[in-house]
Amino acid sequence: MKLKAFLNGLDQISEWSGRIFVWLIIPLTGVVAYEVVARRVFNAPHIWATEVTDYIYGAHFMLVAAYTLLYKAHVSVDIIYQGFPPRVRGMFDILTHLIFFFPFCIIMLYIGTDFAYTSWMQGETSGSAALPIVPEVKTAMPVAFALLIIQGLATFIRSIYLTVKGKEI
Amino acid sequence: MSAEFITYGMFIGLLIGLFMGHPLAFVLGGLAVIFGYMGWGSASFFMFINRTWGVMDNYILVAIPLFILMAQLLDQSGVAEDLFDTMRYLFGPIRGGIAIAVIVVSTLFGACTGIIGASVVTMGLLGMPVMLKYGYSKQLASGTICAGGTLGILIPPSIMLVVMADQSGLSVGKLFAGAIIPGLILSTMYVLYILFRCWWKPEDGPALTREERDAVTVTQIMGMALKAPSSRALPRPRRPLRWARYWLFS
Repeated sequence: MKLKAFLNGLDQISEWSGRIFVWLIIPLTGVVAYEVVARRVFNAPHIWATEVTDYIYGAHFMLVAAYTLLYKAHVSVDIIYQGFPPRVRGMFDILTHLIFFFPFCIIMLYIGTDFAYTSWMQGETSGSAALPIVPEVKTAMPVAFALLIIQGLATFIRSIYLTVKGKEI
Repeated sequence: MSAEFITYGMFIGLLIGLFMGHPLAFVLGGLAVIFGYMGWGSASFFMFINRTWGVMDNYILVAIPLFILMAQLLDQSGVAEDLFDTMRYLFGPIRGGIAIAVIVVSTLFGACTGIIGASVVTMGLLGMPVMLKYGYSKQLASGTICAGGTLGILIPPSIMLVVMADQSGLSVGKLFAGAIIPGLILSTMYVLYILFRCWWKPEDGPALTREERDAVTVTQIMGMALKAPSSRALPRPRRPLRWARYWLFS
């Protein structure tokens, strides 16, 4: 089962991207809690706090997108979809992946790379200049879409298999 | 390519894509790519990336991952389970007591989580089997859980209000303040309805029987109610790290 091993390999990429980047929630919670206490209790807000919160949050929710796709946890309406036989479902998946998923992700990867590259070339800094990691955070965008494409490919091959053979791989 | 055609096309495409079971995010993204290209050519693609960056850079929406973390902590640590047990014994002697317990726990949950899904799933798993076991009518049991779940977005903090504040430019704090009283009124109305309905038709929601009520003493119930989150009189060690383990190893 070479195909199966290949698909599992793709799954593992998403799995580990999720397991690694999900931990960004801990520093996010820490920074928010620290800043709220500093601002409201000690009346001493920090100039960097808003930006750092934004960076961690932005990178966090983008980078775990592929993991979410692996576990099919993206919001979707499956009330009608569930009623169809497996082969029809596989066919639907092939169609929706070709029409919606791949064009969107490939365009976003392409434009996102350009966007992040511009930021790197310009040496973009942040408003407060306390932690100038804007190019790094912008790079999260193409990385997230690349991961999504990898996971989408695995899902896509699975639905082709399901349509052709009539059973899950 | 007229604006009307694009509008109708996107809306119909959204419905078709959604009912074909594809995730909402990618249906919307795919439609934007298709109709953006048809309408304005490839220049529109730069708008997508700016919008995406706008969401990544949005300070208000930071609240959402934090809410989800909190809901997961409550769900995985078993706090909800214990809270529901306590409330069940507390309201047990009244007719429809378990349904009232579901509403009370949903109200408390609404004050912690901010999404409907979290409390509907939790209460569906905890409350539904218990209510059916005690012979509650199916209509009342499922209605209670669904109605209780809607309190999640009404009682602050709520994710819906955060998103609404972001879109409309209103203050999040003011929206939260405005939603407290309606949420509590709604919750009270649900409880009153359950009381009335079970008084009117006792077979819809019978009270706990004498033996079950005697299984726990009043003192125990009071103790449980006071320290509800960590209740059940210290029988087994709680599992604070279950959530962490869940993410790491499951």
